[in-house]
Amino acid sequence: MRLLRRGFNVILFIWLIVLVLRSFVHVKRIYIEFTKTPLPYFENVKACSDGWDKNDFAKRTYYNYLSLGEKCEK
Amino acid sequence: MRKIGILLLLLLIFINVLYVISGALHFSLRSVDVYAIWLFKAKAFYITDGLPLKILNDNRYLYSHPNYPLLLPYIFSLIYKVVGGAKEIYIFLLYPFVYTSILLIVYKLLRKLKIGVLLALIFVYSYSMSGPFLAQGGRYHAGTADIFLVLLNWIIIYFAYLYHKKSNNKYLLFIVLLTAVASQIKAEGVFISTVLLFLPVKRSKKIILFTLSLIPTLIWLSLIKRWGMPSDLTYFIPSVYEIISRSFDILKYVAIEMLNYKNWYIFWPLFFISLFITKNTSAFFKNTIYPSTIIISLTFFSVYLFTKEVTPIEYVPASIDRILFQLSPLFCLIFTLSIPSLFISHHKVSRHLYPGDKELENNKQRKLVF
Repeated sequence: MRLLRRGFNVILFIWLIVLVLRSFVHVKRIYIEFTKTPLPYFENVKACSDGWDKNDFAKRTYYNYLSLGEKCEK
Repeated sequence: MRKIGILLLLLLIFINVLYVISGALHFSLRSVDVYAIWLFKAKAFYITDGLPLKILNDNRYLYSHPNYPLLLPYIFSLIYKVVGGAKEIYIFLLYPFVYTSILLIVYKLLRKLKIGVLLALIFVYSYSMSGPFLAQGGRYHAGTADIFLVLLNWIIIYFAYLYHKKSNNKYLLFIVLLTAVASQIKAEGVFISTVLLFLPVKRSKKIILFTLSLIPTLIWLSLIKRWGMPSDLTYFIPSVYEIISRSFDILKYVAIEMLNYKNWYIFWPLFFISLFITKNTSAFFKNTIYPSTIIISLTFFSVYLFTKEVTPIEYVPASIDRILFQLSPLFCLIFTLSIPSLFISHHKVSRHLYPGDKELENNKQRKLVF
């Protein structure tokens, strides 16, 4: 049991080290995100536009969201 | 050395807060749940300037789960009214704030539970690094509802602990009130009312409080029936064979998610090992937290088991990360509170439950780091 507890503590310590290393990745990402302009998620989906794949569930719901309340001429 | 450790942990936590802020600013409207459910309904509230029953009953928008409670979209629509338009960025910036609030509450609760400053910060930092928490805090999932449930669950546990300590009725009323709010954010929010059943309160009082916490859910269920809102999920009683096969599927996909290191690192394997090698003698844990966790987990298991429209093979992988995140206040607290007993002997555990205990007794004017 003592050995198991010691092993457990070692794994906990390694986990903490991995998390700290992961934080460095976060710093890098924060830097990139604040220095580069991200592209829109669905660039071709706009309210009242038809130039996109309507069979794609995510794009269809996104279009519905954008178009909600818009008066689109058909 | 201790001070350097504390400063380093504060810096790492601050990096995570910046990370979720950056996510909320740069990766908005990325989750389908955000623009199909939560912000969709918020926009519907805003443009109709009232209850958007027509939109909610429209079959084209059935994917928006019309029968979900409407409190959160309504609050979002009020924000839209204040800022004068459906400007999502104001909603997204709320999420890093909620993320930080949760971290503060976790820290405060751990300190109340007499965990030392350094150890409390290590746990807060580890918790702040979990995948679903970062995602809901602003990385791709800002705009969803689960983080609000997690916030309320942490506050409810905090008040439950204060009630254990002080037996003041105001804490019970706070728990009832917060459970009522949680039930109107997402239907499963009502499950946290289970905590009320395991508090050291007279049985009659317990039943009254539990019933009170269920009232908003009952009102909401009657309203969706009255308004004729389409229900996307119904329940049935499967055959014995199906119960066994569904149970196996549920456990399989829950285990797969628990081993998903991208979301949880090695939290879940360590959690289960810690149950065997550590002892938690606190009455609060034995009588309230453990039974509540078991009952709430079994309730979620039953929902997966008896849902008619979708099989666990589709339903569990699509939702279990969020459910585990919602349950994280209970599981993380059990794990966190079991760890200090690894560092001290059982004699000390019984005398001073946690490492920070003695330090706190000596230092009456304790200063919280935050």
